[in-house]
Amino acid sequence: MKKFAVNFSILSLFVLISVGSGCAVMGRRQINQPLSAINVSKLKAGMTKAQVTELLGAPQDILFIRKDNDPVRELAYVYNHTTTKYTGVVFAFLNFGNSDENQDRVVVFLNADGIVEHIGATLEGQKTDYGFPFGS
Amino acid sequence: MRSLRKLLKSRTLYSLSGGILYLLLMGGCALDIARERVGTPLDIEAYEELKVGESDLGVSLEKLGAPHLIERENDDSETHLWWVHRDLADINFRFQFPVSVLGYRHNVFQYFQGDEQSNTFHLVFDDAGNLLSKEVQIAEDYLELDEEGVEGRFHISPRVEYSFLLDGDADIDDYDELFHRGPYFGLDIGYQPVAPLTLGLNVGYQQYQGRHLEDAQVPTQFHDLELYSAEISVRLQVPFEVFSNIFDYQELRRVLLTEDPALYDGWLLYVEGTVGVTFNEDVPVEIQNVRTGDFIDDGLVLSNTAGVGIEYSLKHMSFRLGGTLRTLDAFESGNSPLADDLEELNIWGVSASLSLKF
Repeated sequence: MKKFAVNFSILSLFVLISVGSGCAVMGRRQINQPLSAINVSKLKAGMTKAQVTELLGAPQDILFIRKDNDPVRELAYVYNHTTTKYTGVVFAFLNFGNSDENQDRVVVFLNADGIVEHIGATLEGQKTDYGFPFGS
Repeated sequence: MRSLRKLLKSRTLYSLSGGILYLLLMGGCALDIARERVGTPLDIEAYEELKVGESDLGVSLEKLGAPHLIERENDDSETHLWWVHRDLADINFRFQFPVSVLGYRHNVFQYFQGDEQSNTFHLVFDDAGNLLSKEVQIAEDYLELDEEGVEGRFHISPRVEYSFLLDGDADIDDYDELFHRGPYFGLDIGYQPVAPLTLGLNVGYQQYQGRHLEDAQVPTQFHDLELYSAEISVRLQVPFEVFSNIFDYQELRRVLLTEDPALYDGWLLYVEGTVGVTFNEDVPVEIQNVRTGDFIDDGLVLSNTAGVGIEYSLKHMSFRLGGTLRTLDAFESGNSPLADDLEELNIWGVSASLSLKF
């Protein structure tokens, strides 16, 4: 083999294909801090609100209830962390876009005395993926 | 009749048909598929295990995780919890003209279909946390996915092509006048992550025997042009039923987005493109039986292929038949006195391939 005939026209074609006809886009967006699985596992019924906030910090949202003639009280503390990953593939005449969003989400239900009654936890924020817009 | 034969043999016809194909594929049509999924898929089995009058809030949270939405009745008698998985899909066809690779392309016609599905569990609890009622809203194809699942498939595909035109200016004459038409033998290894899409890696060998130019002022013999290519490929394949159901969004969505590759059978239409590199051997030339250097120097050139055809797909096997346009960037001229300005080579051919899928 004498030499590789890699010339300017090849470079031009690569540039043309890369810039003009096709490209790929990837992006990631996060809302709030990830929830610690270890701290979430330490949540137990019977804890106080102070113990909950010591483990997970201040909640992103508090749900209130009010019975007739009773003062407002806290029903649940809600913690959220959202991760979204975006994928885009642009060919000359065929374009794909995909957005995948998952959450770490913890809801701590409180009784009238402010004691934890029930805990619902879903830690799926790390399961967000880049990919094509097909399948499940 | 003679003029018709002349027309069929003429390069103008091929160039014209190639131009039309280019306009349709590269400039005229566009397909955009976009998907947005929010939340993890709902656990239907866990939902079905919950019993009204028996299960309570604690058990429900343990099985389904944290709800997405909580609301309380004004009289404080009931608490409503929702678990939601949203799945949005947009499919957009555009016909565009005039054609411009880099610039603005006007949409002459656009057909758009969009769909947002919310798969939802709705549970209602009384003040003591007992499950009073439960409801579910699940899309039909979501349930099918849950039962069947979607798994990608690997393909191994021997491929053979035969050229019927070597189009391009080889300085002293067209390539078609200097080389005989010839075969391409290749092997494709592909992965089909979802039904309509296959990504692959192709390797191939092409040989075009050199012609002996008797009509030239001096007898000239070209040696064979041998090419070795390695390319990556993208193939889009859809059943013909897509075109008859193009206004039925649920069917279109199923076929294009959620169909299991293993269930794709029957006749399909495919469009494929490849891009990669091709290595060409030296092409020596003999003038009056005396070797006078190389007409083409060995080298590596950019190559790409556009193909369209039909496919018959079975669960573990596919047969494809189609047409291809294989384009190679200009070769490097050799040290013979015959050529110093070679242009790109366009190889028009028919192809057949067999895929084994597992």
